[in-house]
Amino acid sequence: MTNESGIPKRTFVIDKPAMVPSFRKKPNPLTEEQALDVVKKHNPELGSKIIIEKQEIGDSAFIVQDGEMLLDAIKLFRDDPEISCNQLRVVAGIDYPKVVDDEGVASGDFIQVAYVMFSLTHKHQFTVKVNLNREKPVVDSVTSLFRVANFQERECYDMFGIVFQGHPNFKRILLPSDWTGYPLKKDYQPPEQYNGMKVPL
Amino acid sequence: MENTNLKLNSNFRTQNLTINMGPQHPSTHGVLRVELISDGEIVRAAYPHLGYLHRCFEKHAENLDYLGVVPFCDRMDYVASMNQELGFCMAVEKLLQAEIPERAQVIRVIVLELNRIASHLLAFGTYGLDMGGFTPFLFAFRDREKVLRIFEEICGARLLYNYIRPGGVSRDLSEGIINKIKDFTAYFKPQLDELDSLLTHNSIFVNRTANVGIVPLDLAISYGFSGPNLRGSGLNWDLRKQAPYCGYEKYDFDVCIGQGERGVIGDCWNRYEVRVREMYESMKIINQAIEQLPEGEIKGGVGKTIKPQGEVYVTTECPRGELGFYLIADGSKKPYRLKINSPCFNAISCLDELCGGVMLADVVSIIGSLDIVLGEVDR
Repeated sequence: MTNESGIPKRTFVIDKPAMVPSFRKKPNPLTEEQALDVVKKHNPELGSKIIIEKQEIGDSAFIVQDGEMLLDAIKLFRDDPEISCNQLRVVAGIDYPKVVDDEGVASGDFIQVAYVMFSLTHKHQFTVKVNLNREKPVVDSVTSLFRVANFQERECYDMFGIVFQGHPNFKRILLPSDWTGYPLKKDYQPPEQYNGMKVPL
Repeated sequence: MENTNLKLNSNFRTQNLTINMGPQHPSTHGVLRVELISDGEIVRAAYPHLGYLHRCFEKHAENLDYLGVVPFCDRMDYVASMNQELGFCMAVEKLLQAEIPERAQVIRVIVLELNRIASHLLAFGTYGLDMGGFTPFLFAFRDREKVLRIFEEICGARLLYNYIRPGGVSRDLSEGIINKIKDFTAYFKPQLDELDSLLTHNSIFVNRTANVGIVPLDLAISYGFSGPNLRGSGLNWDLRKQAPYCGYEKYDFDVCIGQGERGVIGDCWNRYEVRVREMYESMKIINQAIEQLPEGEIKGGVGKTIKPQGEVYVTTECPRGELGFYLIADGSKKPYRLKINSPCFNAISCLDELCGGVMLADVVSIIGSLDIVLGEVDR
């Protein structure tokens, strides 16, 4: 990845940054249902693939049912003037291993990526989630939309093994590069030894 | 000596040199290693290498009960521990829909703002030290010690408090401590004027920091900056005003924004100056809070066994920015997942962008102005 002068090449391609919030406009916070209506108005195909996961207490979330449409969804959430989520707060992975309850009903068996987005203009916060295959979690990177996603996605890969396609510098960040396994998975077993040293537990 | 006549010709070859700054470098404010690609005195690229202080906080949190997580939060940003505890406690309280007693809210505000002063004094002192001024550092640490003494009396610890708990605070403030806090604010106001006059408009300091490391506002938002870093870029955004918690809406204070008095908005000097002015605002809040401290309970709303359910993302305004707790609870004793969004982690990701093309000495001034604490970056 270096050119002839030895300087590592920068492959950072970024779209136009999100709109700088203007405080002259009065904030107009939307509910989840209103935001989904806005999405359906601009992109009906995408709108049909998004469902709202209601929580009794706490924050509700949007679930994008098709992982390939995630980038479109994040872009629309960022650029639409009514939603205008100009800040990506966090990219979090959540592991749901397969659980069979007493009645024999299986649930889980997926890895979720949650993108918490916030609008500095309208002061509303939305969580966009996507469910991925637990064996081979692959999703598009959003580094082209939000630069903060660069480190956040690397951390997510570090802890869950989720592969973000199109990331400019995709490697581990907090753990050593030769570490095996992804520690925040629920079924993670720490190695007994690392480079000849005993791993303390 | 015969080489003195050597002329530069077109075949003269230079080569980029890779320098490892850290992990034990005093100006990296902890164990950060920055891989600098330098072309003579000019930095071409700077790659931060993190993880030297990684203590698996998120994994630990999944194996502890909710009260057990609180001391771990202290150890993230060990110079602003009160602020770190608050975010987690608020996330739990939000899921339990707990009503916190009025007195506990006001005590929280007092300790939070005292802690903010202590944290900004450390940032102020070490930034002066990075720029070659030793005196402000000594003065700042002398005054910070006075805050830490107050905390020691409140909860028995200087740095890692375990004071704010889900439902309130662990101990009440006695009359004696309140008098000491009053004495401190009366003492500290002229001291702060003196500290300010030592560093802020010092010409060496201004030359080292003004017009260096400029973060335009759109870049700052794209990099997820928050707190003094974002306000230094000129956005009027403070969670204490925009989304008040802990009763911050009752206090009269100003949001400090970078004005561009020296340099341009968004440079190192403006980020530094926002912190200095925030200390004045914190003192305003402390004085108002002590005046309106009501009598009553200091704990309540949360039972002995904490078993919340649901998911929530809570942010609070910490001295270094908006610390976010993304808590997913499944109704058991332990959190199912706890993700921390650290403002320092987001700020350090900007380092490569800021350091391309600056002089080698400016890297120190840029890292110092972002005011990172590696305990929070690595968690």
